[in-house]
Amino acid sequence: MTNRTTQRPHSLRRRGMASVFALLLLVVLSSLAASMAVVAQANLRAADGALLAARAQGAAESGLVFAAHRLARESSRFVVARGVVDDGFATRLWSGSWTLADGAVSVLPPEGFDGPLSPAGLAEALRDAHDADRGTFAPDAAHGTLPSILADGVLVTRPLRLEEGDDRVWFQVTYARVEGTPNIRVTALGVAGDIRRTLSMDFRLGKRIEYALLSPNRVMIGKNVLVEGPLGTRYGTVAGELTAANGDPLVMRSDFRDLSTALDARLDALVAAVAVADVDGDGRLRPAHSLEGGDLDVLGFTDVDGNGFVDDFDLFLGEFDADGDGGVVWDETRTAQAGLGELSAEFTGVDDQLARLIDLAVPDRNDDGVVDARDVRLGYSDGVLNSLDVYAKVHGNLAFGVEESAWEGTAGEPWQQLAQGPIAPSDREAAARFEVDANELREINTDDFSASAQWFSTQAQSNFDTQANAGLADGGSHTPAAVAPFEAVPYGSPTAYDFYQRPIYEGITFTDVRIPKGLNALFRDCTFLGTCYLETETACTDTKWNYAGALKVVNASDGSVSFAPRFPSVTAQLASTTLNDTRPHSNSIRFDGCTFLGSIAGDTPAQYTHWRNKVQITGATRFYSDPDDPEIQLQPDAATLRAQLLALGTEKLDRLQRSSIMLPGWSVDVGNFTNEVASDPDLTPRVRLRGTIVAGVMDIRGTADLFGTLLMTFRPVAGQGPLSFNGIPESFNTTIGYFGTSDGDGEGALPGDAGFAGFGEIRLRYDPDAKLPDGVPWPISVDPVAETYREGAAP
Amino acid sequence: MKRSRGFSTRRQARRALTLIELLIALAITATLLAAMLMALQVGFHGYQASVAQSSTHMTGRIVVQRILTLVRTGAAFGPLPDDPRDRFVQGDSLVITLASGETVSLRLDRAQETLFIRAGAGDERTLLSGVRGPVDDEGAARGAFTLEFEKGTSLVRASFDLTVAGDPESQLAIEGDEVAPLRLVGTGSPRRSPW
Repeated sequence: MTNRTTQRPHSLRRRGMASVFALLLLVVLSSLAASMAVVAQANLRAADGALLAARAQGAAESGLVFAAHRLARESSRFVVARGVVDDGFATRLWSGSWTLADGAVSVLPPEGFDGPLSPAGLAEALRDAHDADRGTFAPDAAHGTLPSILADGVLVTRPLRLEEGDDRVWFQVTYARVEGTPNIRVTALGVAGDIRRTLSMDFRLGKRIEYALLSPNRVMIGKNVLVEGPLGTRYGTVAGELTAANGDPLVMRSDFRDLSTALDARLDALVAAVAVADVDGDGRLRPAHSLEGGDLDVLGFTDVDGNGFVDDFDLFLGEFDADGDGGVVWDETRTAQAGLGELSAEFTGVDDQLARLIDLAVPDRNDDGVVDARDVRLGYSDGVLNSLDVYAKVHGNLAFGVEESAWEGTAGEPWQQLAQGPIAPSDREAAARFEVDANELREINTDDFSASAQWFSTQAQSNFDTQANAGLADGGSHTPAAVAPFEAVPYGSPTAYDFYQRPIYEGITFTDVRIPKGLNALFRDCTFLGTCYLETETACTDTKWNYAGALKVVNASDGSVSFAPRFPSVTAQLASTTLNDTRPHSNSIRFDGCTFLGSIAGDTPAQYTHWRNKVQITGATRFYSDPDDPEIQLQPDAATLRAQLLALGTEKLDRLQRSSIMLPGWSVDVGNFTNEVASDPDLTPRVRLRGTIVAGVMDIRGTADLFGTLLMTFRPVAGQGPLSFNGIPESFNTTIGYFGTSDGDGEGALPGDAGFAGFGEIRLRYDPDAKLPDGVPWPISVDPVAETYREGAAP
Repeated sequence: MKRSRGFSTRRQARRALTLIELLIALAITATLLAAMLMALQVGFHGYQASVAQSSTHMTGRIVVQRILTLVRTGAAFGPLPDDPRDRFVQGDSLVITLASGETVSLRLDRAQETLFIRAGAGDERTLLSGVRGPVDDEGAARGAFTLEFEKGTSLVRASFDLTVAGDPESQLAIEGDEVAPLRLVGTGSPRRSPW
């Protein structure tokens, strides 16, 4: 009891103090905990907000990419004949309200999903594609009715979540026409939780044949020919066409052949190695690749230019780079002018045209629209061949209709031994594709261009003599055929198949002129404004049409030369009329050093008759149809050319720009069969072709610069048309550069052959902005319009 | 009773505080109160610092997004390399020409520790203050912006490396620490094609 009474007060006092301190401590700790909690929550909220924002941005970007692919895929189902997709046509394609005036429009079946076969328009095709997703995700009840085309034509699609089970992150895409342009605006909403991000970008509907050359006949690309753009051929896809006798779909000759015996041997070794080890079909071997690089050390091949590949160019550098600096100097003057110092030439007098071709290829190397000192620093015209020239035989890819194994089985060797030279495809594209679908690699024929040819026909006036006489009065000249010299056809060919005595017109300007049937003239230094329309007999279906009236050269014992009928007994029928000579009923014209401010077009012969219906373009012939063409500014008469073009008017220029040569079914030769080089190489006559070029078969030799797309129409079939008399399809090929008879080119010549005078210098560049003529059935393409990319709501 | 009083007297005598006890008690109480106040103050300082840090983070993120958006939407970029064969340009400025033709310039002024922005021909404005540029291991300035070009003109990607200093008013002086600086690093590429 005493203890209890003595201890209680003491105990009470101690508890009182502890309570105070405990309470104070509790307050402090609570404050600290509260503040920490607030801070931690704020940090977490900020971090979560940033994370969601990043996810929303990512979702929106995913939506944009998704929509871009879907738009491209569905657009490609619409195959249109109209050449240009403008605002009005884009609107009608979108809504499905196109008319007969728009030309043929066909819609291919859907790919990758089951949907209606014939949507009314692109909007419906896209809607069907989105509908086929069969998604059930609907963050909002209103989403359940999507996809839907609204009254204003806007297509709103159903949201798509990016992760199964996570409904917080999704995107939704809308498509809308942009009035006043041929564009479709894609708006992608990305959502992550409560955070939303919107991206938009316009995509231009257009029509582009993305080939530098597209041909149904076999293609031959010779030495000293550089190609920038894809090459496509469907040769070999018709039953019985792919045979050893009919030749290969593509033959390419390395640019570095015939420079030295040692180099030829090394090229042979490289070709053999490529045929065995090149897994991606680009004609190059990667030292770092386990399969491609395996034997390079054994073969002694090194990547001299350091571009990651061993190719022909490395072997060339290894052969001629005397000082081992990785470059081959070919022009000391240019190296000095480029500020590279006084370097000694390492490659002169061997093939100067090849050196020029490589060093002067792609003047605007930085794509800034001007050619200046910065381009020289990037290797343009610096007198040195090195890695800066980014050499490749083909900058693009190859597309074949044939099967790879079928071709190689027929040829008896790997195709890469036939198509030699490095191929540098663009990003994300294979160097070579086989069995390309007929809807993608389409065949073009003469009928496709009837409407376009008709427009040209209506433009041209039947007053040739009047215009010629006016030109004569204005200082031009005329040489009648009777006193003109005979010239070989093809011009300059050592194995000519015919001879013409042509009337010569020189220094005359023609405007929208029809060249009458049977004129068979030579135009020298003439200017053609607008349309130059060539008349010919279209009903030239007699299999002997080529040969009636053909001449051969007769060399008399006294040294004199005369010309006599080649097939005296051969006649051709034109309806009920028997013709001993078909020349007066056709047109074989040569243009030498002429200027075309517009287009060449002509009647479409019903049969390919290359002996009779032929256009040869030689000398420094130039084609321009765009007053703003940068090339014009480089011409000495730039101001005159531009003024003359502007005088033609916008509407006419628009049509002329769609095709610089519209000669379906004709044979078109560009350049000389005998190579020419001026004493000053810069002054060597160079044919400059622009725009879309339509012909039956083309031969391009000598020195030429082609910027556009070459569309060939003639598919040679044994026993038919010009092949009726034991002709073989191998001989009817589109040839660019020089080949010899051993390659199936009976008109050409190679070193050692009579008449060989060099390999020339040819550039073939695809122009992505080239307008197309009406008539070519081709799928709609879609191109992103980079400058329309927006983050946030679209304007 | 006596016992009782006596006991009571003893208790009263024991319950009374001596001066020393009082002083000790006061000292202990004062010490504890001081410690608590200090802890409380540290807590509040910490809170303020964290708020400042969070604010800096938010501002930094906004600036990062702004710069990356400009890069993504830009049409042309500078400064270009003097030699077009050079792929990289490093410096304290970035010039972006938008598709509309408007030019937006970003410039880090190391002396003022400020990132400036100028739109078109307008005045230069402060985008972010307290910004420092990167330095190498030896302390030499390294460009805050790194531009990678192709063919001397075409931008492949733009990167930036900036450090935002912490607010000195929010320093935790008691612990001798400072608000940690925030490093802003980003890389972006122009959106030319979505595939």
